[in-house]
Formats: sequence, C-alpha cells, structure tokens
Amino acid sequence: MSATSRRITEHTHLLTGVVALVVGAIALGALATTAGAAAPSAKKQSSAITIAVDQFPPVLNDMTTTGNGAWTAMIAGPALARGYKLLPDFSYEPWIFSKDCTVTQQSPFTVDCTIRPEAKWSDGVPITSTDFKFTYDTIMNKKNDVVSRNGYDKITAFNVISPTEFQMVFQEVFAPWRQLWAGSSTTVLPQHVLVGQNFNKVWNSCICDPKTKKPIASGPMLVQSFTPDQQVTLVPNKNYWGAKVAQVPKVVFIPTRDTNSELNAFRSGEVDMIYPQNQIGLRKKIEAVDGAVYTTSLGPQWEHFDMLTSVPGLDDVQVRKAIATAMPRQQIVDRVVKDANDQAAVLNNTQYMVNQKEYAPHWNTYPAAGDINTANQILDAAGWTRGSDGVRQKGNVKLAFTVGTTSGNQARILAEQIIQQQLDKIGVKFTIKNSPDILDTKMVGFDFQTLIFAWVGAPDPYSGNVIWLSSAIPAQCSAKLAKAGQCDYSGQNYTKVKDPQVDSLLNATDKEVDPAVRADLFNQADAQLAANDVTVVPLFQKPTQLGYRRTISGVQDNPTEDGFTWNIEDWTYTP
Amino acid sequence: MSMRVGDESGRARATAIDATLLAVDPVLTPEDGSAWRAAGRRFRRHPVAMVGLGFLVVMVLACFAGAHFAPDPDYQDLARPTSGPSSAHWFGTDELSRDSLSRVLHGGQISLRVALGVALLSTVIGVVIGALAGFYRGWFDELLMRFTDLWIALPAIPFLAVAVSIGTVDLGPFGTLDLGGPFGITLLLSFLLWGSIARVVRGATLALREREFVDAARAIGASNTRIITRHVLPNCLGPIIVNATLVVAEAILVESTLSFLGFGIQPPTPSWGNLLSDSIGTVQDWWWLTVFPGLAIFLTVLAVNFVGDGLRDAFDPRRRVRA
Amino acid sequence: MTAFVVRRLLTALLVVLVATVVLFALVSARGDPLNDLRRRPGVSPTTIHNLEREYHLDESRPAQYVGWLSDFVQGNWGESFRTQRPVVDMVGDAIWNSVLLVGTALLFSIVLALLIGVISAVRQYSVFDHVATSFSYFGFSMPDFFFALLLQLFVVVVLHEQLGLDVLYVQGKYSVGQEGNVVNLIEHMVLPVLVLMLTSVAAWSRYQRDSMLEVLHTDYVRTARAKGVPRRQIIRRHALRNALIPFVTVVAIDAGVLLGGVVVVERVFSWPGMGLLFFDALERSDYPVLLAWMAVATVFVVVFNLLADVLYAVLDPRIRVSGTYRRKVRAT
Repeated sequence: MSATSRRITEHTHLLTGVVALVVGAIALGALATTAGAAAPSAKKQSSAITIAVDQFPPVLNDMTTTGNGAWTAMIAGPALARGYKLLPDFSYEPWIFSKDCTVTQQSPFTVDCTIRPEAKWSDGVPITSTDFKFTYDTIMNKKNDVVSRNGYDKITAFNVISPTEFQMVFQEVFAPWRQLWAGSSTTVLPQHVLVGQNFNKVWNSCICDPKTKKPIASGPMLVQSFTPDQQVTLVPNKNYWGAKVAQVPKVVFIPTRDTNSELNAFRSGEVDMIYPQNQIGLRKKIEAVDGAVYTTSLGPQWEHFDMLTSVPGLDDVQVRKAIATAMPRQQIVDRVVKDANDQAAVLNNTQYMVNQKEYAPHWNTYPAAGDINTANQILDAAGWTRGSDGVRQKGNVKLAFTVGTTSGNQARILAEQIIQQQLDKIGVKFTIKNSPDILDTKMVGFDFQTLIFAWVGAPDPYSGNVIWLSSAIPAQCSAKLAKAGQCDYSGQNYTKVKDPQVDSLLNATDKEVDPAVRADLFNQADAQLAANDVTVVPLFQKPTQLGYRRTISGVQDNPTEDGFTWNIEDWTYTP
Repeated sequence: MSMRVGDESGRARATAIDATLLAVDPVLTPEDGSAWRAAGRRFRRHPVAMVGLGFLVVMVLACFAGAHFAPDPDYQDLARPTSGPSSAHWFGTDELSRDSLSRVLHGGQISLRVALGVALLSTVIGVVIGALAGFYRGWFDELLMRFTDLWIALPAIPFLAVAVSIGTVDLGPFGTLDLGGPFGITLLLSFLLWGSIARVVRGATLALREREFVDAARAIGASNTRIITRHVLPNCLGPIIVNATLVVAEAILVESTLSFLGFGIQPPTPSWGNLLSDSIGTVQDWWWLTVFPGLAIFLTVLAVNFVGDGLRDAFDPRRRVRA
Repeated sequence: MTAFVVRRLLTALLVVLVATVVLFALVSARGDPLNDLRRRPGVSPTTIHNLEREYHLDESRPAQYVGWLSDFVQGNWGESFRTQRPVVDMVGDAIWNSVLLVGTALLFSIVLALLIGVISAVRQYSVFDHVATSFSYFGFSMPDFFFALLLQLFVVVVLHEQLGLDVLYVQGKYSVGQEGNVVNLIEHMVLPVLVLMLTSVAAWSRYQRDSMLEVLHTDYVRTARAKGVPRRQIIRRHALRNALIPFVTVVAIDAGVLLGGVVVVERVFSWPGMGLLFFDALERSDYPVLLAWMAVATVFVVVFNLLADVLYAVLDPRIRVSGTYRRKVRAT
C-alpha cells in the first residue's frame, strides 16, 4: 500500500469509529427511554434495615442548636420518649404521660401531669418527675445551647408532687402547653445519668451514660453506635416499657450525598428505605423498583421564600409586595412538586396547612400564577424606575438580590430559576448563590438576602411564633459580639419582622384556651402578615416522599416532627 | 540537516494529549512564505484534519451566528411539559421547558470563547517563559524548567476550584474580577496551561541560539530581545501553533469539567459542563439533556485534536514515522 | 549519580516550597477561615479564640504561612472544623481509598497500554492498529465525567433493568453491610477504574506505539533484522527495552496527574477518597483539611516528578554519563 492510501484507510477507520460512537450514544439514549418495565431487582440478604440519610446529623443531641435537625429527630427519636407522641393526623397521643395532662387551675395557670408507673429507662431506673424537672432545668440553663426556651420561660414553678406526678405553674395562661412535651426537640432527659454533665457535648456521639458509655433509652430503640459521617445503628431496647417491643433486628442509617446516590442505592438493594428531598421524576423511579412502595403525605412542612428586611431595597414593603405578586407560585408547584404528590397546591397561609380545618387562604391576594402587570404597577407607583440594564433602582439602591438555598437540591434550584426568570420581567434581578450549610451558618448570621427553605411545623401554630415575634430576632452575631460571647441565638425570626399588631395577636394566642378563638387569632396574624409585612412568602406545603421495600411492613409516614420512625416498634422485617 | 531538538530530557509532556506527540520537533522553516504554503498543502491533503476543521467551522458558526436564530435560551415555556427532540425543538426541551438546542449553542459560545482566549494567553506566557529559559540557560533555566514540569503535572481541577471559590477580587483601579466568570476562568486556565508551549519554545531557542544566523545577528549588534523576536520565534511558529491547538482542546475539557463540578459558569447561564451536571438526575428519562451537551464537548475536542494532528503533519511531514 | 539525585532533590524541595506559598495564598485569599464558624450557634467564643491561636490567625499573613508550614511539617495538621476529627486521620483514610483506585487503574493501564502499543507498532496499519488509533482519539477527546455518566446509565439501564444482572455498582465503595467483602469491593471499583483508565490507556498506548515505531526503524534494529535475528528476539531485546525508557518516565509523571482524574471520578461515583474529601472541605470551607489536602497533593506530584527524573537517569545510561542534559543535546 502506498503511504497515501494507507493514510486514507487509517483515516477512514478513524471516522468510522467516531460515527459508530455517536450512533451508539444516541442509541443508548433511545434505549434508556424505552426501558421502563422493571426487571426483578436483586434482593440483598441483610440482617438490618438500612435507611439513607441525606443530611447526616453532626451530633446526636437534637435539643442543642448544633444537632437540631429533622433527621436528628428521626434517628435519635426512637430512643428517647416524649410526654406526647405526634400522630400523622396532627393530634397528640400521651406516651410517657398516663393520660392527657389536666389544667387544674386557670389563675395561676397550672397544668398537672401524671406519668405511667411502668415507664422506665433501659437500665431499669424508672422515668419520674425528677427527669421532667431535670429536663426543664437543663433547657432553662443559660449555659446550655438549646434551640428554644420558648414556653418553658413562662413557667414560674415546676413542682414535683410525686415520682409519677408533677405540676407546672405558668406566669399567665399558656394555651399551647402540650407542645412543651411533644416533638423530638423536647425529649425527656435521664437525670440519673446526665446530672453534672456538660449538656452541650455529652450526647454528641452517643445516647448513653457518659461514665460507662452504655447506651441508654426510654423509647423502643437503643442507639448502639454512631460514627460521624458514616453510620448510626439502632437496636431494639429489650427493656422498653411500652406495649410492644421492637421486632426489627437492627436499623442502620447511612449518609448519602444526594438524591441520585440515594436512588441508585435503593435500586441496587443497598438501602431499604429512602426519604429523599423532592426531585422531579423521583416518584416514577421509586415506583419502578420492583418490590418498592411509594408513599407521600402532606404535613406541617412548608416551603417558603424569605426576604431579609434589613437589606436595602427589601426594606420597602412595596418591593416585597411586588415580588410576592409576581412570584409564579403555581408554576413552581406544577413543575417541581406536583410530580411527587397529586394533591400538591399553592399554600396561602403561614399558620395552617391546606389540609387543616382552620386553613384560610389569606395570601391569595397574591395571584398564584404571578401577575406581572400588577407587580410592575406597584413598583412604578413606589418610584422604582428601570435603569439602562433593565434593573429597577431608586437613588443608589438597585433591586438586585441574591437568592440562596441548600445546594445540591435540584428541585429548589429549579424553583430559584423559575423565580429568577419571572421576576426579571418586573425589573428585579436575582443571582443564585447556594451553599450546603446555608441554614446552619448564613441564615443564622443574617448573611443572606433572600432564601428558599422549609419549616417543619407542628400541629399547633404556636411553635411558629418564634418566626414572627419581634422579640424573637436573634442578635446579629458579628465577630465582635462573638468575641464577647454576646451572641444570642434564640429565636428564629430571620427576616426581622417587626409588627406590633402581629406581636400582640400572637402573644394573645398563648393565653387563649378556646380553640376557635385561638384559630381566629392566628388567622388574623396571618392576614396581617400577608397584607402588611410580606417577608416570608409561603410557596407550598411540602409533600414527603418515602420509598421502602415491601420486606418492611408496618411503616406509616408521619409528616410531623416525629417523622417516619415514629412507630418503629410496629415495623416487621422479613427479608 | 535538522537537529532533533526534543525537550531536554527526551520525555514528552506529561498530559494525555501531548503524550501522543512525543517531543514536538520544531521544523526550522526558512522565513519565506513557500514553506507556509507547502504546509497548507499538506494540511489540505489530510482528510481527517479537514473534516475536523470543517466541523469546527460549522460549530463556531452555529454557536455564534446560528444562536441568533435560536429561541431565547432562558425562556421557560412553563405551560408545556418537557419533551424530547422534535421539529420544533431539535434537541428537545429541558426541566424548565427551555429550548435545549439554544442552550447548547449558547453554552458553546462560552466554552469556545474561553478556549480560544486561553490558547492565546497561554501562548504568550509560554513563549515568554520558554524563550527566557532557553536563551539565558544556567540555573535560571533549570529552575524554570523544574517549575514548568511541576506546573504541568499539577492536578488542575482542585487548584482551579479553590481559585474560583475565592469569588470576586478587587483589583483596585482595574475594577473587580469575578474569578468564576468567563474572563476569570480564561485567566486562570491560561496560568495553568502554558507549560507545553514553554517547553517547546525553550527547546527551539536552545537549538537555534547556536546557529549561524544568530551569531551573525549578534555580530552586527542585535540585542537579545531582537534576536529572540525576529529570528528564533518565527522559526518555531509551527510547533507553537500545534501546541496551541492542543491547549484549546484541553481548555475545553478543563472548563467543562469545572462547570460540571459546580465551580465555573453558574446556572442559569448555560455551559456545556453545567448542562451535563443539571441533567444527572434525569439521564434515564430525558436522555437528550445528557447526550447532546456531552457529544458537543466530545466532538469539538475530537475535531480540535484532528486539526492538531493535521497541523503537526503539515509542519513536519518527516515526523510521522512511516516505513 | 548521587550528585544528580541530590541536585534534583534540592530543586524539588525548592519547587515544593514555592508551590506551598502559592497554594497558601490561594486558600487564604478566600477570606477569614473562621467566618462561618463564628456565626454558628454552638461554637463558644473560647473555642473561636483557641482556634485563632492554633492557626495563627491573629498574626500577619507571612507569619501565618510560616506557622502553618512548621505545623504541617511536624505533623500537626489540626482538626476539621466540621467534624473535629484530626485531619491526619481523615486524609489517611481518604488516601488509602484513592490509592486503591489509582493503583488499580495504573496497573491495568500500564499493561493494557503496553500491549496495545506494542502490537500496534509491530502490526502497523493492520485493523488492530486502526481500531487502537480510533480508540486513542476517543479516549483523549472524551470528557471523563461524560464517560462516567454514560457508564452509569449503561449499568443501570442495560445491566440492572433490562438484563436483571446485578453485578456492578454505580456509587460508593461497599454495599451496606458488606465491608470487607472483596467481591463487593471489586464490583464497586470496576466503573471508577474504567473511567480512570480511559485517558491513560489512550495516551500511553499511543505513546508506546510511536516510541516502538521509532526504535523499530533505527539502524541497529535494521541491522539485526538483516543479520537474520528472529523477529521476536528483536522486539523483546532491543526494541522493547529502549522503547520502555521514555514510557516509564511518562507513566511516572502521569501517575501524579491521575490525581486530577481521581477528583472527578470520586465525585461522580461517590467514592470516599481524596477527591470527595477535597470537595467537602471546599464546599464547607474546612480550612485545615483544605490546606493539608493541597500540601499533600503538591508533595505527591513533586515526588512523582522526582521519581520520574531519577528513573529516567537510571534507565538511560547516556544521561548518567553526561551528568546534565545540556551536554546531551550538544553531543547529538
């Protein structure tokens, strides 16, 4: 062969190779779409139920600010019983309490609680009023980094009447008192084990007796081991005092980096349960896994768009109203949430969820689909004119803000882009700036302008008061204050709402025991927030997505703070 | 007679692309135009290189001119669901019902601009450093070459990621520079990729400084700078061009890797890398969101490599080892 | 010879120092490392103050650098801001996992590249040669993350769903509960190793082919052939040995470059190695881990460079004799 023809042959082969590759890639793609019918997935023999966690708790103590989180509650929750259990229908069920506590006196407002005599810790020591008092003291101790003292700070006297009975005297009528002993951020602590210990550190890597390192529990499971970033293992508490002892052999929680890894692990049989963040197409993929069950429920979790009122531009309520008016909430729901739950809808109330009877859609004054024209009019009337780059400004202030959320969350990033695109039409420019720990650090330090995230509420809106009360604005933690140790982290009013009417309405709810009147007060506060303040725009009630294998039965999703592990003693595992 | 001037240690540049070239021999082309014309002829007779060039021309036209005819890449047609390739949307639509073809084309604008900018800037840096090293030699040369070796071998992605995460820097009178933006990334990549060019220029300088015409030039009093710019550099233009082409390929790959990992061009601005990373969760259902951007990168880099191959053959036909 | 090595060692040391200055400047340009930590509720002022002292943050930048350097050299790498684990432990664990991947990839790449390269050269212009060439081009034009995604797609769609074969995994190191199970480990390693191998095999096989071809056409090989020495023997004794020299040095250098590839691969496949460690540290501004990581990476690269230099000198007697490269060039 001559040199030239050799070259040509070589080149032809080269080109053929490339063409084959391109065709192959497209064929692969087409094949992927036609694939849908599930082939039997392999069943991994395992003696433990493995659950994937996408926000692995750094420490196990759900009551401290470091550890507080939805997953910490669901992981450590089964080990630590509370006064009340939160049921999926938003009601309270007495757990450690033998019955619903009673209000024995109106003035001073006194609540009397009795403890089941059979309730005991896994080491045999009974759960007594001393433990409850110890928990109260721990929370009120200023040296401890607890998430919230709200409500507990209204107790003037905590009286231990007998080992199975105690009494709380409040400084004034405090209607939502049940909330003090429900939900995993208010677990009862074992006095005999934790007395004298540094609460901020003692339960970082175990729920145990710090002196012997033996796990301790008051709930159906024991935390057997905890390796940071690697695993948490729960085993049944053989000495559980409740009606049923847990029948599962072992439950292991492992971290996953993101929803895709979780899904892959679920598909390949490596994990048996996933509780992922919302993602488009997830439902179909979970349902496609052979032997998998998909459940979704709407609970007191709601996604919202927050605006920090101390940012120039956002301090003008007309700007905030315009943004709320233009916000395409319905499109966000349709693109990002509907897929997970057919009943997903725009949320129009910050106090009550769509499926609660007290729900009143005050925020529907802001059209769900977003109204560009009206929003433009509002801004024009308020004196914000468009600059040469299309962004509105007044004086030195431009309506250009950052919007942030937890990074890696595809659904939220899509929501950000939808908002960005729509609000561009009214001359408000958003730049996306996400980070993984945006809620731990940036939000707490007021290092943000607008945010998208979700609150996990409780059946009673009272627990959300810390979001709206002007007394609940955490002190801005500058370096100087931090050095002086004067940072006050309590309170969760991160948008800095300061509305005296909202304050008085919400404070009044504390004292109002009549449920109808309470609901009305909360709704009035919501109406006020919608009409006057507009700092937190509710987007939608966030559906939970739970995927698990049929080898586990008895599972029931619980969208309240107790989470899907709330009835872990009812689970059975037949691999 | 041509001296085989490899880089001094006889080993090729450490990265994948250059490994295929061994040490690039600079052809000592005389300074008249006939050698260039001859090179051009040889290039044209190289079918694969021509195909590559053709593809690149089409790609550049499509991304820059064609993009004007494509719909707005940011327009979210939220009323319509995501769909696959169709007559209305040749590459389908994405998660927010934006036209995928348009996004690929606009992404191409950024990738190509960055790549070309990097090629130019890194060539300048490489030429300066290489010429200096080759000309002045001694310990200066040795240190520079050790440094260059290290620089070539450094893992680009981690260092770039850290640099990009610095964010916006204040350059005082020059304004601010966003290290994560296209210009910032061009600068950063240029600072990383000048190595192979420096090596080549140094090698050529080393060889050429011994030649007669250099002695002659010195005899009539030409300064070192003049010798370098007027005599040495034009003679190694061939390999410089070839290496610059390879830098283009590498720049496209590194830039897209960076945006894929989240440190580069941020959404919603499309770039081939971040289009791919956005599509990860939906590869199975919406394969067109993965395949088309990926193919864009792959085929463009392939075309550039083909052209580089052709250029290499054009400038030194004897280099190709054939019986 | 010793003089050569010592000289190289000293230059390498100098380069490492310069590199650490650059990377320290880069990392500290990101701002106050304790920025996020200061805002975090659970962290007390005393803790912050202690950290400031530990990382010399109350001193000037150059002093910080010196402080960090001396700490690093002595092995005091500090604790992660995020998990409070000693950084040495974290890096130690991660390194083993990455070495596992890179080492395996290296091994298979070398073998495969040698095979492909030699056969291509010996059977120049055959179908094999052409296929190998196409493959090479494919290999170094294909972005590794795209290839990784395609592989993942292939495994999930074709293997798992269509064929029901549960043999390979697309993420992680072990399946849950299977730690220590070698078969399981291998099943997890296949995909990441394949991606790592892609560019290396493509480049090295090509390099080896060119190198072999060059040697095969030299005078002494032609003479040997004319003298009737059997072909196999020629290939083995003369050609291969000489072609191996540059190949070995390229591999030694590229081993350092593989570190870059590992970063992407680990991210896509969630492999718990140095790559993931880096990203977590960067995303969360885990200053101690970040600095330690970059220092380790630099040292690693320089060491491999040095190794390549020494290896080359050892294998090529001409270098040893002449001592420096300059003389070699003039002598040719």
